[in-house]
Amino acid sequence: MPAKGARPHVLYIAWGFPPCRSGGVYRAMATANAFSQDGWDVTVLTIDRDLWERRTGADPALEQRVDPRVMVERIPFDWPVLEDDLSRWPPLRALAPRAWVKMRTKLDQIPFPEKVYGPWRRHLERAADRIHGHHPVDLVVATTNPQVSVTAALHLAERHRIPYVVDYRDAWSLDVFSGRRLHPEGSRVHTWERRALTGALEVWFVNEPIRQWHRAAYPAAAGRMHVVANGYDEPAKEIDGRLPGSALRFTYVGTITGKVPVPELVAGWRRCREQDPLLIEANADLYGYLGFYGAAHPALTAALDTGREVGVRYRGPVSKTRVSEVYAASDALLLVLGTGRYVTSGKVFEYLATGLPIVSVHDPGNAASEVLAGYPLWFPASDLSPEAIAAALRAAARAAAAADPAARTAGRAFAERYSREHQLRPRIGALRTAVSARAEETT
Amino acid sequence: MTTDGHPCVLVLALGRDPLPAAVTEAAARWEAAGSPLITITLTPRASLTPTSRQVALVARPLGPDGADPSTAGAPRSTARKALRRLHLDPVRWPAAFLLLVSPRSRRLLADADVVLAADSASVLLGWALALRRGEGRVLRSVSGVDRALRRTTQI
Repeated sequence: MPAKGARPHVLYIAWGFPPCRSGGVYRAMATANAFSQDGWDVTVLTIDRDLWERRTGADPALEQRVDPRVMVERIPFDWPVLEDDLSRWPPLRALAPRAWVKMRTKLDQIPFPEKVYGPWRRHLERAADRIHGHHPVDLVVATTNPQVSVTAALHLAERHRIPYVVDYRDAWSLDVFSGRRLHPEGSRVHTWERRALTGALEVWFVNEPIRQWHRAAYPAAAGRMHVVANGYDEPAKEIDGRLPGSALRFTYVGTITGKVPVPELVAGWRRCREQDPLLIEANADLYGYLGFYGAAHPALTAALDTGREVGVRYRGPVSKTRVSEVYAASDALLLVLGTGRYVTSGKVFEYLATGLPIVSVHDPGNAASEVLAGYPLWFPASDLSPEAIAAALRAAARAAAAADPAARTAGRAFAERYSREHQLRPRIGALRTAVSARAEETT
Repeated sequence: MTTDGHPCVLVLALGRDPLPAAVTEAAARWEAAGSPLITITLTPRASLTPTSRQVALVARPLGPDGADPSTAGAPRSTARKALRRLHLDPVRWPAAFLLLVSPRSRRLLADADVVLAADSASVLLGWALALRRGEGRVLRSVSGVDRALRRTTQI
């Protein structure tokens, strides 16, 4: 427990932390920074840098954005299935590679029911004990996925009665794309999840539909469930402003997976270029990694090839530190998302902060629609048909060409409610109060 | 067999299935970057790049284009499908044997700076080779070869 006036110590568990370049890393970094700025001692427990540097790609510039007061503890994490150096393969794997992968997948889930990540549990629990022994922890915040992060929180809660928060972000048992339950009641996953949620001081989700689903699934914890939307980190740069007569620039920023309806976007783009003189010279620039592990879905590759002929250009990944420059050079933004009523994505908040016209190319039932409802420059496609997408693009093109400063100011004012600080501050304040109250009770 | 400072890449493709597009795309990239490229195959298959060398351990079977139709995706026999379901690639043992008794292939393997075991039939031989050559020389993925090439070039 913190002595009166002492800084409370939060242990923040995040598998993905800079230099990791995945989409979820920004929330993790912002949360650690927000606790630090609120006067907490913050220790981040995360994995060695090796995986990012050797496998998925790293963004070293992101590390510069972590508050220097945040302590980062890195522990080993093995992903042997990804090992491609044959000198490191065991003989059994060389003899029967597929059988070995099947066996390994089963073994991984013995310590914790999660493929690939299960074995990380023992590293996490040992490290949590060591950190608590060195500098007593007052609160644990475990951010998922991977879900195995909750094991360290449960471990410290059971051994030392330390309260914990589960920052769920998306979901474990809920498939956010299809809306169906992935793990049945009574399964090991269900047992772990119920244990983690019912014992938590707070549980955070990224949007209201996901919170509602969990409130119904785990009513005992319903009162402690909160929405902490992803939000944007800082207001966007001033937009460069379009030169009169120049071609319109539409931009997409985000990881481009097989779930992202790029083929539909290309078909709609082609249709509107045929119909509208304003769009004949326009370009759609797509920025981001192709897939989570550097490999593009074949349908995606084909769509990008087709799109090149009509001005849809894949521009590769862009560092978070350069994203604001990309937005500043854009006239309108493309929000292209996978289908699912529970899907929000983090980029919707960054998009809002620009005050630019936003074209939604996703299922109208997506949770992102709730975030955007009321934004003055929102142009949603009514469905994913080429006609509907073309109509939304044409309307956005008109707004982008008009470049009305008053509309942009109104857009930015609307976005203020979604600043990261606005989302995190109330929760961190409530946690400080709870930790202090617990300290007073103990003394 | 480094040529003008560019490491030589040897692609082991001892199976009879088509190679993933990622391998052919990467092969073009490596060659464009200056690396000499050699492929050792069990039966003749379409060249990875127009200028790369290919050594086939067995001359047959051949289709009209001079390549084994199986390597271009022609349907497999029922027996082969059954063996594959048991995770036993039927050609890996004879392929490994044929390669080991071919002095030319052995020399090429010994001279290569980086080896890609491009299909499952090449894994066993690639693993045995990796035990002799050490870390970072025999890889199972294109991205692994990319890393190895970067390292070799930096050295």
